[in-house]
Amino acid sequence: MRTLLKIELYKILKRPRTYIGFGTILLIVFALELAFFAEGETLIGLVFQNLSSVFRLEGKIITVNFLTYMLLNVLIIHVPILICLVTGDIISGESANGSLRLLMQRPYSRMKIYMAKWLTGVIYTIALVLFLGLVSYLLGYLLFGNGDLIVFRRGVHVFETTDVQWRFFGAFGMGILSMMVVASLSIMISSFTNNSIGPIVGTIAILIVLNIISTVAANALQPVLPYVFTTHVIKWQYFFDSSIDWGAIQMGVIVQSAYIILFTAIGLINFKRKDILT
Amino acid sequence: MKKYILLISFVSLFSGLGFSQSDYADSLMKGAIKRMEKIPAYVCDIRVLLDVEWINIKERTGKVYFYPPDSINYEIKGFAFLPKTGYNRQVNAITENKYTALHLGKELVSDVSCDIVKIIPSDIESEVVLGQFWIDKNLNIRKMTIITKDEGSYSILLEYGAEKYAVPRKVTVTFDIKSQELPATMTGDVESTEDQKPLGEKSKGSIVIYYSNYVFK
Repeated sequence: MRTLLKIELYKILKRPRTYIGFGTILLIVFALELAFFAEGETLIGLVFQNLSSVFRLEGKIITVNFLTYMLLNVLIIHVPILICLVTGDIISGESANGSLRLLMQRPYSRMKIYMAKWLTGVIYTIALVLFLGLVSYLLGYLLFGNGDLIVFRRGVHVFETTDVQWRFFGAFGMGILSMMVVASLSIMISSFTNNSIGPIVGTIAILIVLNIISTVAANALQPVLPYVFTTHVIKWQYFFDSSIDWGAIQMGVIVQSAYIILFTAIGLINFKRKDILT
Repeated sequence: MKKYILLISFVSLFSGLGFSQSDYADSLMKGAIKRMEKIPAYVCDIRVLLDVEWINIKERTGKVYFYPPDSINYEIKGFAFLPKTGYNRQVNAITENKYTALHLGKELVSDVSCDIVKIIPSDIESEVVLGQFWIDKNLNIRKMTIITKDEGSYSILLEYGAEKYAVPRKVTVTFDIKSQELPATMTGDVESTEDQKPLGEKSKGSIVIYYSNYVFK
């Protein structure tokens, strides 16, 4: 299994598209943080317009913590797309270029091969999310320094610097779990097709459709929504509430873990039965 | 003829009374201002507590530097919401131009008997429309309510300790504040917000500041 994993990791590292995600994240982080560095006061002025008419706001608003929180929002739309680019191709790509048939000739069970690919997808996902956190934090620290975190979510929450780290750990952990669902889904779809585009576009389409339905028909679908995995993609934000709804976070962990198991199981069953003809 | 004499006497009596009332109120106000003007530059420790329904922030501590007549600098650890202006500046702002002072009787504020003085600025363009001050026998302002043209109304309650000067040990600022909602694209809060208060709904908020360890310069 370890050898298989090493092979899969080597393959993923050799593919140029693996670095598209890291490059894109780097661009997003640089663009946003430099924009805040140049025009942060103006950008933030609108947010604080109402408050500054009532209060004298003392202290730094734009800090490394504020920007890292802002940048975590790319987990909702952008990072899932970047993950699909790699994980959606992980089986179907090899199926399309014929290397999957060669791999099958090796003395490894299909389950081990699938799990090695799934693990590689998960490692890539974790690396991408951690890269987002690391780059956001390092550049933010360099440009803005440390300070309290101000969050606008159902009101205004101000967290002291000492109260922020564990929240970020929780948020990134929750973000990784959500992105693992996306990776598992795209790997599952990848096991069904023999071309790379299908799983990538298919996964993105599912995410977009579910997000739109969840937003537009939120009231009508209220009883079903807690069981839809896209509902929990924003659960990382719950770590930035003054009084944390642990029940909701627990529900998010259970539902998302269940989807990871479900998608992996479906993908695995299909992969084991799959006729490899290309 | 008798009627005219009576009427003139009546008007003279009441206008006279009004004049003396206004004079008394004005002397109280001027006395309080004079007492505040005697406050030298100082530095002291502060604890700030904010109570606004939709703002969650823990107690903040720090130092405040006061430079006469009304300049205040805060040195707070971290981010803090503070009153827009110090109470000294509020008093100066309403009394620096022409005004009419009225004495409205006496009232207890924190168990201390105070004279109530209403200040009406003469300038129609003045930002402060009306001010009411509760002044004790030592000429300390114990409470003030200010009504402004654009920024609503607010009250400031002052409690004093054993300091030589008219410096408070506790100040409570109560104000009106509108609930605020920002676009989800800016905040990332994309969830349904049914449980939120309607946008712009007014509620009361307060800031309590405790002052201690005064060092006068």
